[in-house]
Amino acid sequence: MSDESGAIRKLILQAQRGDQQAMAAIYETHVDRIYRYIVYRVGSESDAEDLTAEVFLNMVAGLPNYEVTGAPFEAWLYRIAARRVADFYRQRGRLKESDLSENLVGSAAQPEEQMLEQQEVAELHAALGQLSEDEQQILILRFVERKSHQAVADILDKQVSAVKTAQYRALRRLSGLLGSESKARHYLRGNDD
Amino acid sequence: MTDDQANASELADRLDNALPPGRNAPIHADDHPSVQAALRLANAPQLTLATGKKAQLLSQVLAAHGKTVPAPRTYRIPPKTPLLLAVASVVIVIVVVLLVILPALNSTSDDPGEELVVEPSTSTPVHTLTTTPIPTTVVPSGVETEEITSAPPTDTAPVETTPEATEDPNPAEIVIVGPVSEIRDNVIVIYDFEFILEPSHPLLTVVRLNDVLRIEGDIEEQDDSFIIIAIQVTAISTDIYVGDDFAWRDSGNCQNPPPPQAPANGWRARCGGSGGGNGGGSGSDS
Repeated sequence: MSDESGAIRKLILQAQRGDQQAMAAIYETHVDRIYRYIVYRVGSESDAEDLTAEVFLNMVAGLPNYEVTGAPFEAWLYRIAARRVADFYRQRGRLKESDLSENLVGSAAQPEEQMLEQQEVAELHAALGQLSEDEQQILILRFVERKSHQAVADILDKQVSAVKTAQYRALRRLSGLLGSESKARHYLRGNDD
Repeated sequence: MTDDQANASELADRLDNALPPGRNAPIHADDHPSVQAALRLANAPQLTLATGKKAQLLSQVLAAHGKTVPAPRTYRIPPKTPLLLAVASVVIVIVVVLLVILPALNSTSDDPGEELVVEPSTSTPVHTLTTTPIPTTVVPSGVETEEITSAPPTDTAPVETTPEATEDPNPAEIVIVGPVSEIRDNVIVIYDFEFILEPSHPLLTVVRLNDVLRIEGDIEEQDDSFIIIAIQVTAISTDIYVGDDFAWRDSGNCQNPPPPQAPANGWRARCGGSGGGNGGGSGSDS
């Protein structure tokens, strides 16, 4: 077991005993990556904030029964997050994931850089939304979080070869989607392509 | 290997070269369309939860955490305890007679000339908690008494009886032997009984859940309930040892030898020798 996973394991055991500092440390370690994962899945920062809160409250509720095994702790968190995202879409009435990217349109008063950032997130979210849940998870973990094939396989409980195959298909589709969006954007702006 | 698998493997290698794992790993150019799509994801905004929101959520998480740690049962002694104690004592005597003495008498009925020997049954230990005859003892209501005295817990660690009052001028009022089910600061919980230790007690530096301990304690009244103050703690688990002012825990290697008086069966079997030192302090976690 690596030093990092050993440290997390120790924190988990301490948190299960009621140690609030350990719980806070677990939260600080994972909150941003879970938030990022959810933002790129749902396309709205405000919704992502609410869903992130639900993930960690679910974590607290389930922690007494959590058993430290060979699987990484964050695998459990990502599973909770994926379920919350799925529930989110069910409650929204099965809207296509790409339809929600309009939530990220910023106001004219925001700095330009922030607007560009939001636009980029919206475009990526819209493209990712066309992929399956598995493919979205693999691409976000691999490239937004920069995890290795093995780490992603451990988190998703898959074989490395399966991760590579799904990654290959997902990136082929994503490159086509991003390419079409880019063309559409240029067309709407009146640029010749 | 299918074409897809071969292509996937080749793409994976290209990606590992262009986008090695690690948030701070350098990125290298590659004009493959799939790698370009991956690069766009890698260069996507690294969004983080706003500081205020993060702190607010942390408060919610910690508040929820404080509520989910299960509170052990605390026994509140009803006013009519002496009467209930007397009834419970009678019931216990009757049960012992029915389960132990009568079968022993029946087994010797064919040979009335033999000496009658009554031996307590050892195959099914009765987990009976008894205390010295103090009117206000930790004996709960009738229902709870039945739960404790007649239904053996799943763990087989026995509950010992207290010594006779005439043998020890200051006998402990309660003795429990069992596994630690919860640790909260200086409170140790065994079989839902909370034992309060001195905050500086050395045991607190090494104890873990499921360690088997023998704790003798005194009962003190507090408002409408009773608390148990631990006065003597002995480790039954042999990978820990509790001295007067120090404690030792087997760290899983041979770096932290136990004191000579500690059983430390696991350490001695693993590392040989008799250990050393008068107090190794608390061992590191394995």
